[in-house]
Amino acid sequence: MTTADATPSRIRRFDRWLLSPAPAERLAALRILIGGFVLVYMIVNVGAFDRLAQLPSAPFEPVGIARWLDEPLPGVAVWILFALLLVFGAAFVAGFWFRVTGPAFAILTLAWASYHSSWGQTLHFEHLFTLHLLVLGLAPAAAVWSWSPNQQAQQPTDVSVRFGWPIRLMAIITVLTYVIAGIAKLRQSGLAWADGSTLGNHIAYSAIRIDQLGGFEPPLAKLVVGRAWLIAPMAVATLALELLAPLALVGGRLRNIWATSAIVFHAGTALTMMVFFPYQGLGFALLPLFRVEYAQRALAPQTARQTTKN
Amino acid sequence: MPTLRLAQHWVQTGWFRRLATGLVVLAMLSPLARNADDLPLSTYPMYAGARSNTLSLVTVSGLTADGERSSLSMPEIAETRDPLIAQSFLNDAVATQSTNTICREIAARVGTEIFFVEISRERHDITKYSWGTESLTERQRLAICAVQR
Repeated sequence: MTTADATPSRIRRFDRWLLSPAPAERLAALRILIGGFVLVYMIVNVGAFDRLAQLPSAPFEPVGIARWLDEPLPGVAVWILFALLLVFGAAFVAGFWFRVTGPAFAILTLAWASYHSSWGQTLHFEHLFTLHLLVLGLAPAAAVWSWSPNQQAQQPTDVSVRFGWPIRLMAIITVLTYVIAGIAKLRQSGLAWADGSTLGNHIAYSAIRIDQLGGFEPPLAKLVVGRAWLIAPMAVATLALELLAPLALVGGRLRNIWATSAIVFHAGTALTMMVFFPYQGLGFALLPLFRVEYAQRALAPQTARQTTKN
Repeated sequence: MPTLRLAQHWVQTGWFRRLATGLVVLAMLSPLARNADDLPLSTYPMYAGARSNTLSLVTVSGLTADGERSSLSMPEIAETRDPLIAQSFLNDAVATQSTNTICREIAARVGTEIFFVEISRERHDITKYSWGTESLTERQRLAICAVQR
């Protein structure tokens, strides 16, 4: 087969992958897991709401949709935003009135993420779950496994591209964020980033900064900084992980290897820099790459057996 | 309603989803062309740029009655546990020339063993850090304030 013959076939294969049908349960599982993560994340980060409600002395430099604001929100508005996030987040996870609560929770999360990053420091750990929620919120993610006032409206559903395509889109978004991070390193530092000196300096910077700010020194920082034989392969592995992220879309063993590497990478950044991206590092960002409804299906026979016994 | 039929045809044949996917991919990549780090679209520039072997950073220390230097916690410094936010808080204090105000704010949060709070700019040598020796090479005081009891 010539290259010219192979190219349309690859495009067709990608097209089939993109528009492949999926069961409604898979999309619903993502709604529950990702929505649940963001809801818990908001609750755990109540201190950030408290800090921003007290109007920090840092200059207000709005990003995202916070640009619509001329000045910081009054404290009470920040707490109202927090309350709305909890209410709509719970409704999102439950699938309650999802046509309204789905987009609403996604937009509220975008509003919070924008406002949270509007104080001179863009917090990149909130970008990806915001994008995923925007996709989920506009998708039919509550066709099953949802608490609806009209339970009869929930009919058993077939596998459909309606449920499959949003999941593919979320998977594409996940891998693109890694690719873009890899491109940013090459654009700013060139291939020199791969020799490890830049990474070593960043690790040392983080360790010194955290030491000066009274935090815990990253446990592996001293071990890797200054050891070129260790730090150079780490830099190459980081670039490879980021730039080769699209391989995860192939599925199977390549996906599993990449996903495992991504988790190890995030654990590594925590141990060497005390920087942890919870959505990515705990694996939630990688869920669209997997058939997450299998966990429930694996439990289903057990439930059926218990019912039979009773 | 030919327009509605055309729209339905687009959705049924997958063209709407193909087009939407292409637009999302283009939107995600667009910050690279604009070199714009924004939200929710970003260039994800974390740790991408080169750093020199000398680090300069704004720090805060507490001084005890004996004049001994003591580290303060991140909640005491900036009411956060995130080092990025704490560092940004101190950088902003320098940028807005409000180190004296911030110093007094921090002094109101520290423990009883601290008598003075000092904000300073420090220079550290990364090579010395990697050798496991003292990395501090220079300290310039930016503000100092007494803790009110």
